[in-house]
Amino acid sequence: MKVDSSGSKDKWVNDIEFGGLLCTDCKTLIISASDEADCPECGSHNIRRKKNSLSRTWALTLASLFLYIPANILPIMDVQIMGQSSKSTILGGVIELFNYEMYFICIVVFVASFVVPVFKICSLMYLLITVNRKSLLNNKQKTKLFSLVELIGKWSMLDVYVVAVMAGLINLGFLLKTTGGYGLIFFASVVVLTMLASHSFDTRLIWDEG
Amino acid sequence: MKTACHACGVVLSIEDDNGYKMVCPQCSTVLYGRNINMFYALMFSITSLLFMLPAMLFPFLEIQIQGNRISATLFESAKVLNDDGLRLAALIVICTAFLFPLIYMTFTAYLSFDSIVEFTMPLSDQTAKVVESMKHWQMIDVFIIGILVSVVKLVGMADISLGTGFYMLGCECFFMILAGSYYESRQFWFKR
Repeated sequence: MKVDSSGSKDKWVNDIEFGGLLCTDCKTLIISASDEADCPECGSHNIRRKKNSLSRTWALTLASLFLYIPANILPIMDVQIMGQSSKSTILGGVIELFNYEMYFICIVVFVASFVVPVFKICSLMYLLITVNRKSLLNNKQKTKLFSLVELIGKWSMLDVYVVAVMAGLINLGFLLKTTGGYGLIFFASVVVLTMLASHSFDTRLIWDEG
Repeated sequence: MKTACHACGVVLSIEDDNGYKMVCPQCSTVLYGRNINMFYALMFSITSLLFMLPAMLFPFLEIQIQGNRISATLFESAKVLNDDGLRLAALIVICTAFLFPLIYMTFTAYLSFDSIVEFTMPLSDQTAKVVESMKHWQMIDVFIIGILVSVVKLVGMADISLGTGFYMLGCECFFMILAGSYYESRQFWFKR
C-alpha cells in the first residue's frame, strides 16, 4: 500500500487541521467541521477524540491504584491440609516458589502479577501527567509506551487463572482443599480496570498541540 | 482513499490494497498488516471453533492424590470459585476464557465470509466493532500459561498429567492467533 502524506516532512497535517475526523470502523476520513459526524461510507457515528478521555482514564487508573492495595494484602489462595489452613498473598506465592527453587516459574509469576500491573499503572499516570507537556520521552516513544501497556494488559490475569485451576483441581474435602481468597476479586478488578483505563486513553491527545 | 493514523491523527492518503505493510510516517504505528487474506481467516477461525467444544468438555489436567483420580474442566473450576463466594472472579474467568474467544472467532468467521461472498451479510458493521474489542479481551493464551504454572506448582504434591482438553486448548489458541493475523477489519470495506 502506497502511503502519501499531505504536508511537508517537517510538519505533518493532523485531522483537526485538515478539518476531518477518522471513522474508527472503516478508517475513512470524514470531512466535517464539527466534533461529531456520521460516516458517509459505513454510517457509524464517530467522535473526533474519545469522549472525556483524560478524566475517564484518570478515574479508572486511580480506582485500580486503590484496589491494588487490598489485592496485595488480602490472601488470594487458601490451602487447607487436614483442616489447617495456610493462606498466601500474591507476593507470598512468589516467595514460596523462590524457596522451592523454581526460579523460572517464580520470575514468570512475579513479572505477570507484580511487575505488569505496577508498570501499567505507573505508565498510564506518566502518560496522563505529561500528555501535553515536554517530557523525558518524545511523542513517538510515548505512543510506543502506550502500545506496550495495551499489549501486556491481559497477562496479569495469570494469577487469577492459576488460582481457578488449583481450586478446581485440589478439592478432596477435609483432607486437602484449595479455595480462592477475597484478594482474588480485588486483583481481577485491578486487571480489568487497568485494561478499561488503557482503552479509554486516546493517544492522539499526545500529538495534539496546546 | 483519505484516512488518518488512529494513534497520532496525521492525515494520510492511501492507494488500494496491494499487499504491503503500511506504517504511519509520523509515529510508526502499524496501520495495516502484511499478508491479509480473508479466506485463510475464515478457514482458521472455523478450525479454531471446532476445537473449542472438546477444549471445554475434556479435562485439561488430571491428578492422582492418594488413589483419588481428579480431573478439571474450565466450567468445574469456575463452579468451585463460584461456590467459594468468588462469583465475580468466576464470571471473569468464564467470560475471558470461554465466552469472549467464542464471540471473537464466530464473528471473525462471519466477517471473513462476508468479505469473500458477493452479497453483504446483515449487521456486518456492528459485528466488526465487536471483533475489534474482543481481540483484547480474549485470554486463552494467558489461560494456557496459567495451567502450565499450576502444573509446576503441583508437580511435587501429586501425580499430575496434562489432559486431552489442554491440547485442544492449545490447538484452539494456535488457530485463533493465525486467524487473527490474516484478518483485517478494513478489508471488507474495499469490497464496497
